Amino acid sequence: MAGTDILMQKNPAVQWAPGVWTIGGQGNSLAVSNGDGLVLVDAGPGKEVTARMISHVRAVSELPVTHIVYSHGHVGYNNGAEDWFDEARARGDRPPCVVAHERLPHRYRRYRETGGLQALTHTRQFRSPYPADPPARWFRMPDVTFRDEHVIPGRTRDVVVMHAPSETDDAVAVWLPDVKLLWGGCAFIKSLPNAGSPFRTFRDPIRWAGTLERFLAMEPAILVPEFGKPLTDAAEIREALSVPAKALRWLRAQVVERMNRGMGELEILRDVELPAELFANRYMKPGYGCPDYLIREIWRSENGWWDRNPTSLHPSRPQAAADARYDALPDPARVLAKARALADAGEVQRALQVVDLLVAAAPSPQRAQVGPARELKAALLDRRAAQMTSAVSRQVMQSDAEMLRGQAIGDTDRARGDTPFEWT
Amino acid sequence: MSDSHPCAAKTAANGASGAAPTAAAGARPDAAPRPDAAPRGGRLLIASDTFANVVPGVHVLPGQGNTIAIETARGVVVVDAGPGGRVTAALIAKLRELTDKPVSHLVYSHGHGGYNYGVRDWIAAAAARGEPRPQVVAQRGVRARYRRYLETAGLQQWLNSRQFRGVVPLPAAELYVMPDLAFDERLVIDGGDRDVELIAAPSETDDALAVWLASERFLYGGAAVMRSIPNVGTPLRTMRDAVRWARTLETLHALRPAVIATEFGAPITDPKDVEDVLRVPIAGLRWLRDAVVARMNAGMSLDDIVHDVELPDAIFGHKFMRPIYGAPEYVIRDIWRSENGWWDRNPTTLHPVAPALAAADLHEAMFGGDADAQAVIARAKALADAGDTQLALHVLDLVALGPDDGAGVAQARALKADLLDARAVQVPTVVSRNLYRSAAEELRGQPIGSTRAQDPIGNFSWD
Repeated sequence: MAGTDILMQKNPAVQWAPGVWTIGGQGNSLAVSNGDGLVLVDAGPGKEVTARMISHVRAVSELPVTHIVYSHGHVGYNNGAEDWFDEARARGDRPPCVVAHERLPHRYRRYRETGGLQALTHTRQFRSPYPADPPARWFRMPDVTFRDEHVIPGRTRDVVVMHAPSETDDAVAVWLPDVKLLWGGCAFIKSLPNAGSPFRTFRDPIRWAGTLERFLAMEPAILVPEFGKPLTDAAEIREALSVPAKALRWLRAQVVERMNRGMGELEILRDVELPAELFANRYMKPGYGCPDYLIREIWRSENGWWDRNPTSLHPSRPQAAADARYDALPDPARVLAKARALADAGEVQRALQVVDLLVAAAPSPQRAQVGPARELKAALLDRRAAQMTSAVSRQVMQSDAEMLRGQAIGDTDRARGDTPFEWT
Repeated sequence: MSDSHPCAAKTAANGASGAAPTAAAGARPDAAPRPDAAPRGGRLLIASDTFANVVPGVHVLPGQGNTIAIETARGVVVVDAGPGGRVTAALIAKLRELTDKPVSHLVYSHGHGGYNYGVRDWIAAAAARGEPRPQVVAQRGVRARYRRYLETAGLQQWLNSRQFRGVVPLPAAELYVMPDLAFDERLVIDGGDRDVELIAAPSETDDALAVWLASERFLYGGAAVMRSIPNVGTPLRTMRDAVRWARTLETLHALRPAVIATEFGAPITDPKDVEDVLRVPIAGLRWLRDAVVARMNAGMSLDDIVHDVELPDAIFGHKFMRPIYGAPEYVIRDIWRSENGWWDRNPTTLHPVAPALAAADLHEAMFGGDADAQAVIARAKALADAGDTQLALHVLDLVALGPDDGAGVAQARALKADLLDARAVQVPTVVSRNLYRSAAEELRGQPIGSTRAQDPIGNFSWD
């Protein structure tokens, strides 16, 4: 699966309780009737996906959309908010009120400020183009923000929007007390919590565990995940919430114990053995996040940027350092041969770490092994990508292989006939 | 300021001449002084001067950094109890020379260890005088931080021994006294004759606060206001958001203070200095944010950005922006961290093999025998002799990071230790200097801090 397709849900409206529907979108968007109107949770990414969501809603309800709740501030989940305003205008309804957590505007401003960076990371991670200068229709600011809880009252029910910090600090969950339905947002993804994603800022695993434990204490009868099918079996709901929370706390304890003994980040990464009862659980699939990422994040929650090698405290310019290292090698051909031998023996990761002695140097006639080393690295990354359980690791490896070959990111998918998702 | 432990650090501290000055107070303020732990240097974080009646009834006393004592009709509000032991005993005695009023509140300026290890001493002193127990007050985040410090005590010890150069004991749990009263954004202590206003001032830590006396326009900035570059991005510590720190300084600036007491050094009363000690760091942090974001948006890597940013002297040459503890490079790294993940963008490092296995592979790939390793060491030495110590380190690491029994590795590590000593006198920040010296000792198999007598004497003063 290429691009952001993995994030898109295409199913039509499904009713999970009276007046409560999942309606597809980027993840499981939700429409809730409160008797006076519809509370929409996540507007979708815009264009055809949001148009489809609107038609799903209109197939089941003619009530006006009175509120749009932003589940969290990540790009895409609400790029289509303006489309719902257009729909309200066309129907002659009052414009909806947009509700979000108080941290969300800060994130939206950051995303505009760092547009070029977001384009770079999104392109590599999702393998599809992303605009460095996002369209004006994106990032519509909320009308109402809250810190802990915001209740949208209605003739037939209260819709409780609660802070649920997890993947982001601005994430919310939606609770319908009358039917005990909990929409977990990005806090509940039915797979391993996605903390420590390589490109992304800090997501505290313990804060995430705390949110899952609060969900558990609410004893929901219906639990709607960000992606995939909602859960209605009480035992399954308990398992789906408690196992990830336990796993996060277990991993924290393991990493802290090793940090306290003076172990380094990479040593810990390869030292922790994961118990199957937690990490082989069906609600802990490492399809997007993975345990390596979690360990990195726990490390980051207690340590600085420094890797503890004094050489890297105030380094030389990267290119100067790479060139100096290459030029100091007694026999670069020997290094390439060793990398090839490891690759032939199936030791792909070890081969990558060896070939890296060569690839960063600036190519020149005197540095004859740089070109072949880069070719080897690209081939190794293709093989390594196929070993990955995490889509994030797989996709950034594929992107880097293309860059090493001088291709545009996504070329390989296009050559296979895949159409990349368009953000705009 | 400092991050956690007041452990002895060698510098020519607080205006002392560089001889053997403030060791008088012992190496470890939280424990009985040990004569062997601080053979000569003073202590980086321990203040020495008293400023009585900075404004009427407000005194700046020497603790771990400055301790502030504010007299009110209902007692004295003390901000930071000091590190305990002799330093806190001296603080208590000093206060008693100035006033006989009971201590009503002990306020934590922020949650770094050491600043308030002495809380129990103040409580005991109050009891001995037959006074009610002072109320312990802090910003809400202190509780979570204290729990973290206890949970990660071994890590803190590891980090602090290297940063502050010495033997650091595992902090005892009873030193972390949880506040009785915590607040989120603002708390007013009604002193009867004056309001003492506590304002959340997230900066070096998320639990930092400032103290404001509107009646005298007196501001104590706590960890937020220093007389040197804000300590954002220090190598061993978790993220300190540069923009958040700037915003805090803007909030404090909007109060229009007339007198500012800083975390370290003498209070500031000159109107231009009062303005500059807030405005210049704000300008510096915001300038760096813009400079780094522009380069991130252009696709530059972190280490390239560090080298590409040219600092305007009007801001970074200012007396309140000296890189004596923090450094512009550190700030750049934390701004990067505020928008990026842990990954260095090389896919090889996403899921690496165990470090020892990689080290063995690389060593074998590079070197057919001892002569090969010797050639690399010679090349590193030549670079160092030509004056590029840092580039020499990059080359030398080809050998020095190899397996313990690898050809040339012991020799490379010995040279690396020498190069780190050389590097230590090339950097302005005492944090990098200490980390280089600690790493050199480790490479030589010496206990951390055991050669502190040979540490370079920096021209260090918080003023």
